[in-house]
Amino acid sequence: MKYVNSFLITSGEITIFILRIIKSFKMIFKNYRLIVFNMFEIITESLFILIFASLFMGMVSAYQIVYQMKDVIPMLYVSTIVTQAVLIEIGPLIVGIGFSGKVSSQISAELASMKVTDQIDALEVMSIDPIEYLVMPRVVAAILIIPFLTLITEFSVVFGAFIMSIGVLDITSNMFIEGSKMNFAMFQIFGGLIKSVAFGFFTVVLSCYFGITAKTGARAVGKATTLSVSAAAIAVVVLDYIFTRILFIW
Amino acid sequence: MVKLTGVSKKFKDAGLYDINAFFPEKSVCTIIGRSGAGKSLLLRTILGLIRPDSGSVLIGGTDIYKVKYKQLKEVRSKFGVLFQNNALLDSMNVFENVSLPVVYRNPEMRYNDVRNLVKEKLKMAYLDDVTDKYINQLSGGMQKRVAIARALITDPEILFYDEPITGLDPLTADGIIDLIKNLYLTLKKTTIIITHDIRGFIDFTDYIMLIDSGETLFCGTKEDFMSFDHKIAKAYIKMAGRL
Repeated sequence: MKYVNSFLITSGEITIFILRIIKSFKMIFKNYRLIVFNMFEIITESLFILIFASLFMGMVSAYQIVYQMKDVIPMLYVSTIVTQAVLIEIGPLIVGIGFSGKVSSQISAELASMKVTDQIDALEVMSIDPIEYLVMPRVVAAILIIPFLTLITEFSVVFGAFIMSIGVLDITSNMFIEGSKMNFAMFQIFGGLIKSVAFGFFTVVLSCYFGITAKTGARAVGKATTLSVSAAAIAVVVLDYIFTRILFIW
Repeated sequence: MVKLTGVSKKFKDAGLYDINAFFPEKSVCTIIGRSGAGKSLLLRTILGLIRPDSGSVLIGGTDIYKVKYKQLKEVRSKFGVLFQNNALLDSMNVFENVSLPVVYRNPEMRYNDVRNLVKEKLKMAYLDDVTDKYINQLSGGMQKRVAIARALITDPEILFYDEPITGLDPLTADGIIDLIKNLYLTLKKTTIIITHDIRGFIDFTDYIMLIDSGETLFCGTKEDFMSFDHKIAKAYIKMAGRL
């Protein structure tokens, strides 16, 4: 019962927190410098690791498909499966999980440190709303930058699969490209991007919430970081299911 | 004017119990008490950061817990606060820290005007040539001065100093006490000092509030405090060298 209560209270607080963030969107133009700064922060924090992970994910995907389906499907379909999976599922998911690990932990640790050293209270006292100044720019930056990161990630996965296919799996480049075009629809790209924007939004919102509500002491920073990473990872997979049902299955 | 009426706030292991106090305009009020007495909790309540369970906090006639957030922000714009651990934003340099409140409130303000204002306030805090330095490049005493300069930048009506000399060596502490005293003498702003070490502040304090275990033991003029017959009060009077 205690955990149910705690879950309901936290959910309510997060809902109010989201409403306050949405209300602060009117300050977007005033805080555009902070938004741009946070976009660069997110890129420098996550771009390299996303490209690196995606290339290997692509190589492993192509290899696994061939390993599992070698005698079942023609090799032309290897790139079809990779491309479809990447656009609909793997690309946004890699970005979402990558975000929850790298960006979310950084944001929550930074905000929690600010909280325990009174920096957030100082902002309040200076009549600077921490939601407008610290949270909203990070959320908007994530929303704006995540489609770009998703496209780069998707390209990297497909490129990784392409390298593996032509280098190791005896699939020609023409066959790979032709296979990639099969069953392709523009909506798959947009659907994946919509998912990734939702992942980015909730990941950053949760990390800001747990950071800004951290209690006092050094342990609180660690606790806030752990909580935000776990909550963001869970949110990503739950949202993935919901958006997949809404966008691709219904 | 700051007026507290029946302010109570209960936490698991601390709290404030029926706090009543009145700090007149343009006076120096020192809130003293042992560690854990509830001084910082009281300050946070006055600043509108911790809502009390009961009672009211009036700042210039406005009950800050009965107004909307927008009005609270207006009331807070009258505050200049030095936090116990300075609360400077460590991702910014000195110039950005000190200028933040004015730049955020007046984004149209010209850069040269901001720069001049920051220089002026840093000079008031006896600091020079540190505008481009980052907070972690400064000593504890310098960080205090930067935080004081930031508190002064909006020309506040009330200045709060939370444990301004805690953790400083005696010489640096004396420098900070001198600074606070000079700022009061030149600016004549309502000044509220929270400290457990009254020694340096007793000379220019007008009002003293003594709290212990979240309760008010004394609140009145310095002269009345000197004749207040209480064990803890006597210890402070002795500490101040007046006994």
